Amino acid sequence: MGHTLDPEGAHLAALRLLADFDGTRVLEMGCGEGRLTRGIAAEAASVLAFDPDAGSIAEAQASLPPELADRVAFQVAAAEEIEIERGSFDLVVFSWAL
Amino acid sequence: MNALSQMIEATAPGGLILDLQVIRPDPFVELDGEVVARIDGEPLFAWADAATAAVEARIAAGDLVQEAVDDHDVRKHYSDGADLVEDVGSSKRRFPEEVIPILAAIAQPLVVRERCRLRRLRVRRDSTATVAVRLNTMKDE
Repeated sequence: MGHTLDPEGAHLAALRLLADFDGTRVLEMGCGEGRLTRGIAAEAASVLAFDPDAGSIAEAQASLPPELADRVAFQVAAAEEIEIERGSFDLVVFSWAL
Repeated sequence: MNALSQMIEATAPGGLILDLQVIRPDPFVELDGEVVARIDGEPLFAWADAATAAVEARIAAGDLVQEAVDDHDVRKHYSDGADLVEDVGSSKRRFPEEVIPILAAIAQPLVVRERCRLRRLRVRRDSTATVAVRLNTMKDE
């Protein structure tokens, strides 16, 4: 038993088609298990990824390659409650959530 | 403050928001590349429609500028029908009642294919969020 979302990488390909993540400060809202976070972090300067589901965040942290650890921060939070400095990100990614 | 306003404020003036949402038509279930069922996506579409309406309102208000759109298919792979039925049952989507036992009995891998839309939105340098920051700064001075 088991299922896998988007192993073909269609979402990440679309993100890369519409934006250049190179060197950017990225905020990812609704990161889930970090499926997109890993691909974004490979190019970005930093990523703050958050999701209200603690289990998903734990999974995202566990699956993050060690070489990306210094540029990715995960947080358990809903969008309405996360504390963010104004204008502190170059790029915000919403994935299926607002 | 709602989530979209929070994200706009978090974005530097001139920065980008990438908005990824599911769009119609309903997702399809495929077995060996052939469509075998349709999933009723309306509960999720209603939610996505509300999110899209919120973005449209901020575009109309001049806070965001839509620069590009990309529609693409995304696939979710399941080990068998029981896995699919269980996963859909725990989501905002639903199957017509009559197909659930048929799908649950399928022992082969299945794929759900659905349509998604990614929009690139630029936060205007003079958005209301930015103006609010400026006003607060002036008050502090």
